[in-house]
Amino acid sequence: MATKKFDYLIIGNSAGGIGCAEGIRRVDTKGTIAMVSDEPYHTYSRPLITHLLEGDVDRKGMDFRPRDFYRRHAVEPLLGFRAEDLNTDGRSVKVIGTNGKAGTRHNLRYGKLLVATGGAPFIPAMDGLGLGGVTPMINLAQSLDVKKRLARVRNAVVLGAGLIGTKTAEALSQVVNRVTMVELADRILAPVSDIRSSRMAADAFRGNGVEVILNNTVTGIQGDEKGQVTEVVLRDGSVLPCDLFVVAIGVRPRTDLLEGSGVELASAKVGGGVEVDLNMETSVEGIYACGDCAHAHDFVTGGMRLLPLWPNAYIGGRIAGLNMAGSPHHHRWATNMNSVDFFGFPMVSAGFMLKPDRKGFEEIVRDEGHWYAKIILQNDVIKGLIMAGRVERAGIYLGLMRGRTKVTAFKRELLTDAFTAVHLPDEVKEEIKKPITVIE
Amino acid sequence: MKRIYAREEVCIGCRLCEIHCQVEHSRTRNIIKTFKEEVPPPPRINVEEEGPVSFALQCRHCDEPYCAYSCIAGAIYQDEQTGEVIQDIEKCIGCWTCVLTCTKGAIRPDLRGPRKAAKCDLCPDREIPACVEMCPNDALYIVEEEIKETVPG
Repeated sequence: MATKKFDYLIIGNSAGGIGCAEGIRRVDTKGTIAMVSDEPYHTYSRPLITHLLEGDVDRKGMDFRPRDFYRRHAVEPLLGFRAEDLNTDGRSVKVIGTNGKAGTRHNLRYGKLLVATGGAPFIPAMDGLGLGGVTPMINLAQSLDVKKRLARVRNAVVLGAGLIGTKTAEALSQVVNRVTMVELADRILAPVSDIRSSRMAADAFRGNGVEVILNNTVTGIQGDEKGQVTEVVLRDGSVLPCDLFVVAIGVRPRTDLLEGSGVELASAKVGGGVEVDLNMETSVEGIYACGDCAHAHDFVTGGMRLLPLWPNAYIGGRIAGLNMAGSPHHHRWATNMNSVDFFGFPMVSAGFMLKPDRKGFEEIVRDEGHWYAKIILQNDVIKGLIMAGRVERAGIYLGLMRGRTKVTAFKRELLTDAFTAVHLPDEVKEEIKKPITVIE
Repeated sequence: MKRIYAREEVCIGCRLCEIHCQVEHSRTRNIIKTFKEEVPPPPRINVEEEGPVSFALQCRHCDEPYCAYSCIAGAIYQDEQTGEVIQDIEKCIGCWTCVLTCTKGAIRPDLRGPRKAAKCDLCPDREIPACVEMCPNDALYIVEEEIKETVPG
């Protein structure tokens, strides 16, 4: 087993890993960097896998960075290698080849390490999970597999109506005869919407031929003698014909590499994940973490939490990289923040989705039927935003939210057509005219 | 790098910058045809106005661009040489993450065809951006600013 030494070792080749490499190279052009991924692909935009499925993005359109990225950033890509064994005392990670490179092993010694291993799909225990046509939808391989199968799919069922489930159902509805989305909660997109905006999104799905089943779940999967899925059984006893079953009920931080390593992990009660400080450094000096596998600071709540979102992964990685290369910075740009478009129905949200039932909170709502906006205030500071059907200028509200700007003087105008940057307090108004600096 | 700034004290809120931005980014680039024959593109500059106070605002080409760092498609990036924040329109999938993360409100949805975000591109085909050149009151001006020392990334 060959031993190689790198100044920086990055585990993960997605948003967090790329952000880290770019952050390091802003400071250090000489240090050696290796990037490990168990996926064999050039860095790709994970959220676009459903677009690939649908066909509005081609394989090349999946590239998150140009093909010469690794060369230009002097990064040694070790793609198709799974990180197995972390030795924090010896500062080394063993990696094992996957797919075509099975059997190849390397011992990688590092100066600084970033863990950006992402998330793993949560799959409830159920008979029939091994049948053909049953799959999660979180990576390129799964998307390519389903794409190959599409020609024979007549009835697709998607379990879970979170962001992955809804985007999968939308994509499938363009290429499959019949699509049904099954959600345990009483509304779709519950974590990123309120009741009104969730209903509008559900209408967009139903209007585009997707059947939406709420307050229900899949309890059984049936297959044929060839080992292919044929139907799923719902909790209420009903049976849906099904030749593609996508399980999209959630993603858990992928932290198995760190089990027993001495790096502190958050408790299962809060969903797990690697604990980090504002520099994205873990409890072990020299080891950093970011993205779906780690915690991050939430600028709305002020606490550390899981925020498995693309921008948080990239910025967290970039800040980790800057810190790893010796330039101190904090990550204070993350919150629960989502933006999505279904069938031409746009929807963005950030912070609180529902007004907490506590003193000091109030909400401002504007409902125009085909579009809807809501702002949640706590003592005149924006703590929540939802815009559905129309999203123009949403970022101005996000900026006020992040700046904890008191909106007392223009509260009444906030959601009116008349609201402009001129309403903002002088210092905020002057600030809005200037370029921003995300890296602090 | 080039940045466009506004002189709030001389802006009269005429919105000609918005009009000429739309013309420049239209199919025909003809002011009559843009508004009479085409579906006009959204302006990539907003006149912020209340009462007598107004100023125009477009992409600030931020040194550390939140939009680029948030783009899920890798469609927004910073040019290494000029520091400009550039959008690769082919890669844009219209997810509106940049609309949410641009705290200037300077990126808006373009709903004319396949859904794409629209932002200031500093008019690459013109020597002086249309909004600056067409402002009747010199309320917009362009300056060449030094960019921060950067390396690829």
